[in-house]
Amino acid sequence: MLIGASERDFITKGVESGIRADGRGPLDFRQFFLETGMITQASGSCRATIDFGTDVLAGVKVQVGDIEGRVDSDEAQADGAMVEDAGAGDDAETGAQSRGNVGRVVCTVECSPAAKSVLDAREVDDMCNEYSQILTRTLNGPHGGLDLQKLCIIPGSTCWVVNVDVLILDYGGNVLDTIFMAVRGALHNTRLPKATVEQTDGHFEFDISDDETEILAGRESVPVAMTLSKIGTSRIVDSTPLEALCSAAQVTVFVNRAGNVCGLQKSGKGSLEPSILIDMIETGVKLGTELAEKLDAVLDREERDRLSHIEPTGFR
Amino acid sequence: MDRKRIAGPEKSVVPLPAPAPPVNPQTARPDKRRRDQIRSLYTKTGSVTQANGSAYVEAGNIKVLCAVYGPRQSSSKNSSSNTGTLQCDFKYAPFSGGKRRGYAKDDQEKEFSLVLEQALTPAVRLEQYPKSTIQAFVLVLENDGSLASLAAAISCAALALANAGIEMNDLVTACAAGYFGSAVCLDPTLDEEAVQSGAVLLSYMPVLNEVTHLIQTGEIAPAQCVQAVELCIGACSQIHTVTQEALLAE
Repeated sequence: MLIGASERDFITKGVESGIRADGRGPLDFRQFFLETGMITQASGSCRATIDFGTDVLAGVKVQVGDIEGRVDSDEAQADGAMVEDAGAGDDAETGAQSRGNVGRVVCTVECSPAAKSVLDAREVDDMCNEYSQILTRTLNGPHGGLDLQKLCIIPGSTCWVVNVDVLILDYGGNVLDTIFMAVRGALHNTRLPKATVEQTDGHFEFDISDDETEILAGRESVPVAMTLSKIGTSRIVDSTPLEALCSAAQVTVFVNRAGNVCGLQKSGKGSLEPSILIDMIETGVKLGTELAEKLDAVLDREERDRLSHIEPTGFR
Repeated sequence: MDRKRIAGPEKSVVPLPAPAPPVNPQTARPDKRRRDQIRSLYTKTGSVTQANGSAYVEAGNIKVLCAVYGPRQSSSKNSSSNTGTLQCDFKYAPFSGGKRRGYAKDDQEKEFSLVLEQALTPAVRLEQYPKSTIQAFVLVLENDGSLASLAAAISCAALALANAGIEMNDLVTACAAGYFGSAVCLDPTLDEEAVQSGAVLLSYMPVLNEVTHLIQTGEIAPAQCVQAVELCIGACSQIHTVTQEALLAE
């Protein structure tokens, strides 16, 4: 996508004086919609839509898998040292020991061909890979919220693997925040089948029930993403595609409901002054905590609808 | 599968090391560094003779090599652009870590390539190179802490770009830090990385006072996060004096 010099100037000067083309203030979000559970084949699903913009569908599929590092305990170190394992902060166990009894989350972000044509093909590939890595890094670990130790079925050998697949259906700016909303919704909506483990003369056997009944432990502490884009000398949230083109640098702050920072990621090809950066982090934390509360209210309502057997409306 | 290379056994297993004494950087770091002390640095430019510019950086056990080629003509597809492009390629050597890595780039290396690009682009005056591409190839020969290696790769690539005579606004440097309970330690090694609860990577242009990249993982209070950022900025300025000297020594 390209933008003309005069339009760029118009948007930049507007943002600097606190005005945006669609009438929002610098720190106002567009209205968003969240709907969960409309893909019945998935263990959990959620569609997050921003008004007249980005549309993201996240599906969760759980499967039984081998615990990572069962063959090779060094794998977590060599493969993704940035992906902290769940026990890393645990004082009682060293990293290597606790690595044997945690499940994992595997995330992929894909861009549907319908949304692809807006952007350059290489850009899309880079973007999807970047977002997949961010998701995997943010969700695998104590900061991701999910209790990965509860995903362990047989210590040292078998665990649940939570596959989170995200599909970008439409591109209308602020994709990363929308992805995290959809993922948070889908994880909230996920039900695991109950696994019962029996120990018969020294070795374990497990049985998986047909009904999906168990919720994911820690689903309420999954962080939300809050991206602030620097345009000119000011910063805005929830940028539209045109605003995104005017922004040289973005900072995404991942915040959980407790108001703690669970991750930071700068993107874009510009630079930031440290004082602006710190201001963006603090603003992001404040807005992110508010967003998490808002999302929780929506998800609680969806949960009540589910319990009272109100069918999801499906794709609008 | 790549049939041109001699294939090793299909599945290999790393021998389990004897249990090492537990690392606790909160009390004492294994290599006796202070918490706010980075590894000692060695830098050299021009180590790849056939490239337009190159640099080698050694920080403790980390060894990183970078070669820069270009500016050369962009491929016909995006040649109409009035600014140049910087392409970065990040690769771990197969023998660089505990487990052997494949020759093909994996997802982590692809992401690190993008991080390099984002960290270096703000410094390069790409408007001076219309219709051209500058390529930087970074090879990590030895990895001792993945974020620390990436930080060394950023500093090394910036040095190689300067060695190639590419016009830049400033020399980018980068530094990593790890969270250990309530303590923040600079430049964690692989052993320390295994017990950390989170980490920060920051790249910085010391003369312009601008941050070019930032990644943070791990749950932490906002105040401590700001403290880690400030600590990294200080360390980046220290690295800057070393890399600058390497350029002056040319």
